[in-house]
Amino acid sequence: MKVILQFHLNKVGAGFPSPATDYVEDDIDLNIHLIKNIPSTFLIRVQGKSMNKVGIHNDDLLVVDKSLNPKNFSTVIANINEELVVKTLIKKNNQSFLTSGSEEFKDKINLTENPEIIIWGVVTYVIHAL
Amino acid sequence: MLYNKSKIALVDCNSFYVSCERLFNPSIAKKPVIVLSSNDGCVISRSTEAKKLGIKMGEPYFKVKKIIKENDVKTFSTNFALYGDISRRVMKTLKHFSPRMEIYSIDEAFLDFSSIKNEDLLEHGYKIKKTI
Repeated sequence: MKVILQFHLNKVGAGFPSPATDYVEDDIDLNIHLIKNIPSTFLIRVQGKSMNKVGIHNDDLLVVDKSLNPKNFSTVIANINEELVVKTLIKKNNQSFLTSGSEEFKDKINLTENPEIIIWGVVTYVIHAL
Repeated sequence: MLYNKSKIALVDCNSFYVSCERLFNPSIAKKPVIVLSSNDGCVISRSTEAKKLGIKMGEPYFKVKKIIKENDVKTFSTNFALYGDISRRVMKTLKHFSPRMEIYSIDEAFLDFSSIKNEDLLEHGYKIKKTI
């Protein structure tokens, strides 16, 4: 996932050099903006519509960091019924739940009652095509 | 006398190829899993469950076919692109735990622990395991 946008500076043989030369900045590198911890970061492609409410759509790319500890309302990748799924983590009254983006959602899963469910990683960015 | 004081740790990943396959495929997390060598010749990585079934390291595939069928052993051909990527990630992470490091193989590395106090060695080891 390396995107490099080149700067095209005018070549000047003689005479007045380009005044922009002194202001050259680094190429835009999305890795720097989207990935904080390279060895623990993975890109995962979304399949399904269950998380549309929180802005995660079918075919989106998720940037997932396995080294982060999930917080309340973190979007996470969890291992549920032998499958990796994307969910929202909600902590309430000393209990943790996984939902599809809303506290009201009926399909919420109580993590305290299902200790076999493992939080695989924390989603840090969604890459969505418009 | 310096060498008397040097402490070297050997890091070795458990069933590395199998662990890599399991990382993105939780459905095989608790099942017996093996990875075969190039052209599916021999068994080169076994999960604990597969070891318990008597599948030996380096055993030819045709010899264990019966065990595989009877016990529904999940069998994979090598995916070195995946193992190489995970190996690089493991090594990059290990580098944080020692000023000196020597990568020994795809899943093994030596770390210089000389600067760590004896009583802290065990704790440091657990910390590495947890982080990886």
